[in-house]
Amino acid sequence: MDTPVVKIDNLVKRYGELIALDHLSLEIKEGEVFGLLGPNGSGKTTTINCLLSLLSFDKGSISIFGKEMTPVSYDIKKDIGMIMQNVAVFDELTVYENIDYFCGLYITDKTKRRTLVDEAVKFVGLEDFVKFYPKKLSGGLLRRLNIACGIAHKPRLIILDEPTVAVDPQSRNRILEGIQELNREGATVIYTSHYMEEVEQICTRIAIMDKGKKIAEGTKDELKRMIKNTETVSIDVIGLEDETVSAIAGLPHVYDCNYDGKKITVYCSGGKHNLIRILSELQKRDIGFGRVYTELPTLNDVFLEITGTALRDKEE
Amino acid sequence: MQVFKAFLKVLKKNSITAIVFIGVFLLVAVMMSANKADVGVTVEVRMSVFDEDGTPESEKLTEVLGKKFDIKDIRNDRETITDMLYYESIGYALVINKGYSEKLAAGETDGLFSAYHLHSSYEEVIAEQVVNDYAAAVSAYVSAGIPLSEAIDYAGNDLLTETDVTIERFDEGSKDYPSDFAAYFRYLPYILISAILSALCPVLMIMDRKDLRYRTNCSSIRQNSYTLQIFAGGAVFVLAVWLIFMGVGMYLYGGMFRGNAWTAVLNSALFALITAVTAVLVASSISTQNILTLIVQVLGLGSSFICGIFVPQYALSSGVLAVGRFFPAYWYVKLNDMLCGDTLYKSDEAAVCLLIELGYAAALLMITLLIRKLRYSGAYMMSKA
Amino acid sequence: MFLHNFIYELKTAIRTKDLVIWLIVFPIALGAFFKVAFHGLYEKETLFSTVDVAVVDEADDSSFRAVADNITSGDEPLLNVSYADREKAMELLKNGDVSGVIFTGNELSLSVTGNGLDEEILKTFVEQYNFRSRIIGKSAECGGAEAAQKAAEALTREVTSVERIPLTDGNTNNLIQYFYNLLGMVAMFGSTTGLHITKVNQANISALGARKCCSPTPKSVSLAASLTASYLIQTVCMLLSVSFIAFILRVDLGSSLSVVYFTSVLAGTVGVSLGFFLGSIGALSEKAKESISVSVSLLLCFCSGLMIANMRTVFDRKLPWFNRINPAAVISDSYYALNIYSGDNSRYFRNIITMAVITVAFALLGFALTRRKKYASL
Repeated sequence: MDTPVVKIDNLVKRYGELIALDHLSLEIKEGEVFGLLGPNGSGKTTTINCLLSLLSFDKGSISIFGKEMTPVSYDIKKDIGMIMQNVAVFDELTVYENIDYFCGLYITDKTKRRTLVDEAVKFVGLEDFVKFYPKKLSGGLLRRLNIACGIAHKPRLIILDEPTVAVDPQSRNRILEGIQELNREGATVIYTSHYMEEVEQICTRIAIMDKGKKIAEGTKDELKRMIKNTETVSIDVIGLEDETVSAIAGLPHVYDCNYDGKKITVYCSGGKHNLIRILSELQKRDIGFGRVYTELPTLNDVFLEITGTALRDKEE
Repeated sequence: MQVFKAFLKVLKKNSITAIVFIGVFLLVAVMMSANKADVGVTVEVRMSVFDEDGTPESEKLTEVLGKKFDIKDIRNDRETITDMLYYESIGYALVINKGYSEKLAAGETDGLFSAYHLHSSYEEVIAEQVVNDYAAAVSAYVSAGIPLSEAIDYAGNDLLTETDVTIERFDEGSKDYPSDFAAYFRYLPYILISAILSALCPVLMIMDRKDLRYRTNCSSIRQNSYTLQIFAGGAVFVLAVWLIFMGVGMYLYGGMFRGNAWTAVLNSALFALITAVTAVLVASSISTQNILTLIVQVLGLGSSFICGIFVPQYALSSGVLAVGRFFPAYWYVKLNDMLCGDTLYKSDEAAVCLLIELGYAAALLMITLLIRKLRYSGAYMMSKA
Repeated sequence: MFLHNFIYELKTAIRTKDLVIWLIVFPIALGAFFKVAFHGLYEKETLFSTVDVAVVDEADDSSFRAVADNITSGDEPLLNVSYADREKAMELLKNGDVSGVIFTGNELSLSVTGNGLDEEILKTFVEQYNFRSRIIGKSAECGGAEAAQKAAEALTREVTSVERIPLTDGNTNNLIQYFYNLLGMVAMFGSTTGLHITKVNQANISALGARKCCSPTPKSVSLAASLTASYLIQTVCMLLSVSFIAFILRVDLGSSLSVVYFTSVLAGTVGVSLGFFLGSIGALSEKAKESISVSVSLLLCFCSGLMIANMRTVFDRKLPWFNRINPAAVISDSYYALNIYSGDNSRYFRNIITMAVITVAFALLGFALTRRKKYASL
């Protein structure tokens, strides 16, 4: 059955004059890890809040598990797990109590709940901290607690809104591995972030948003194929003459070339063995060189090419 | 002056809170002063008369009592009378019994009246004495052979004849600062403590938030400079609030202050200074805003009751006053009472009151600086992290 | 789900140490202040006590002296008389050692410094004396010496023309009204507990609220559990406050302490419901709600007579309907009615019903405002 788990159709959300979501349409299939990538202010969190019926919207429709989503759709909500961008736990309850409390909002059977809470604690690696209060936890551990509270009841759909903000690398890896494990267990995951490395690492399909619009959608390979650049070659070399730079720029499949006096960066579109051709050109002219590295395009390159600005620039 | 500027910006952002508190307490201050009613003190006897006889004689008595006392017309039901007596809206509730005029004509005095009794108050004693006197006078005239109609006239006239009473004023200055107006200034300590602490402390607590303090401690600004700028910000706010209250006071006064009223203004300025320092001290001592209101009301109400704000100082026992002396509000009220003539004015005592208030401000300042130094120095903050 | 939410709400409330401690410490501290402040005040202020007076007897009035000697005798004499010359007497008056100075002459005259009750007593005494002198004089004028004699004899008879009708068996010390109002204030400050309910249940106020809104637990269940837990916490605070006032401070709150406890429990629910309603008003920021809750509570307590006892009667005269709906006034009036109208409970029941209606109304309004909905912005 191909009914999408989540279907957002032509969604429009305005805050006065500002259009936060501009006719956004998305479909998320079961079993996907769907990434929503975009800079701050692109509308990712607004999309999530509308999806969860927390925010009203001006136009469009939202359905989850094939049914229209409303604030009183309790049958849908029991299968959703939400990990908010802001840590949402009680300062007055211990780690264990927090997970138990939120799990209890979904699961009424005490025995079953106890098992689920224990599993959640183990899943996020907080066994040594069950009696701690949130104020005593580091940022990373707090985020793990935040996640445990959202997934303890084993939901079919898990939504994570920038769960790794201000998190140490160890916790971050743990979180990302955990999400992949949850997906392997059968959950559909919606993951929003402005860190392209994370999205590239775990997401099976990605939508890139900017200014409330979806500007691109597909797997990471599909997205990269959308842009001209397929390979970027960088070589450390000093004292290159303009003639040499022009010669390299004229090589097949090279569409752009920059030399800053220390490093030449060559942008190639399509073709094979671009590196060999470039190195041969240098060798032909008897020019020595230092480090050589080649990069495949990133999602930042995709964003840059489509919007004209980098993802990181937008963040700053 | 970065800290000072930041303080003012944070204050502006929290202006709604400040406006709500200042507005409410301004209203309370005006209502308080408009209904100056010290516990148990009344200017004249207030009573109600219920005439069950309905004869010219009983009506004549009611007329005479109306000229002598402040007669309040209230509903003749037990509940209303009880409430009025309990809350001291009236001091005496007299019933002229049926058969009054007949008994009077016969020269009898027993059973002429009934009176609802709650407690033996001053007003009850006075009113009952007057009523008995009237009955005695009529009886005496009738015994002397004078006809009843003339007897009640003579008795009424005798009762109403003014006694030569001179009210001595030993302090001429209190003319400019009448007791009725002084009530506004008398309640001001409670108002200032409640309004200023409620409005200012949240802002101070924001400035002293842990993460902001960490960042400030890393900078090159000295601890004392930081604290003094915080004080300066608080002082600006308190000055503005005090000026608002003085403005309203001037309106109630009916124009520019004169004579003793200016001393009262100085008195209130000193107390406002004490309040400003207290606000910084309280904000430096508590960690959550939850309990701020409760602390403010314990400080405000508690000190108001034992220092003579809601209960006049002359009415408080010596033990209470001994405790009250430890609060600056005690000295404030003592001076205020002298200025309006409620107590004897002595210039040396007045000066002492002002100096003590100044001393409190200085002492609280020292304590605050010490607490802030201890609480917000890096090592202390690290140990509490 | 209700029980699950209720238990955890209790846990979080109890562990908010600052708030719970202060809600308990606050009435204890204030109650102690009141007790200290009012010590001996009722006897000193409301109840009658002997007045000090100086007499300047320049006319050497023996008949006055006889009267004065008579009036200064007995268990609770009207006056305490000391004789002095003019200068000394005025000095005593200036220093506040006496409330007035009586001068003898054709008629007595009086000097005082104010218009207080002691001065009124003195004025009345002087008036009486002059009054009696005039009666005898007038009688002589109308009927000669014999008439004057008869009048004088009549005046020597003790006249007790007034029969007192006692109004209550209860505690008539009106200073306990301050303790009633203090309990009212503690109840009203329960609104801070009520405000907290919406903070953790509304998505546009906190992340916790957003998380709860995403859960399948109906909001009505979650709110009901939170409200019930808050009622329970406030009940404990009220019971402790009453116990402290009644047993430690030994204030006579009236004859039926168990009913006072019940009244206090109900009063606590009024404050919590008020806070719950205020917290549900979506248009206001959290800080604005807190400041409004506190200032409204204080204003209502002021209007019920917490600071100045007769504010209540001012409203009774000018805006009687306000006292019927002001929760603080209704609460303190319940205690008053229980104490003073112990034989007739209609007024008490009227107040109880009013409190119950206020509680239910605010709670329902709060539910209505926070019912499951989407927000325009978070």
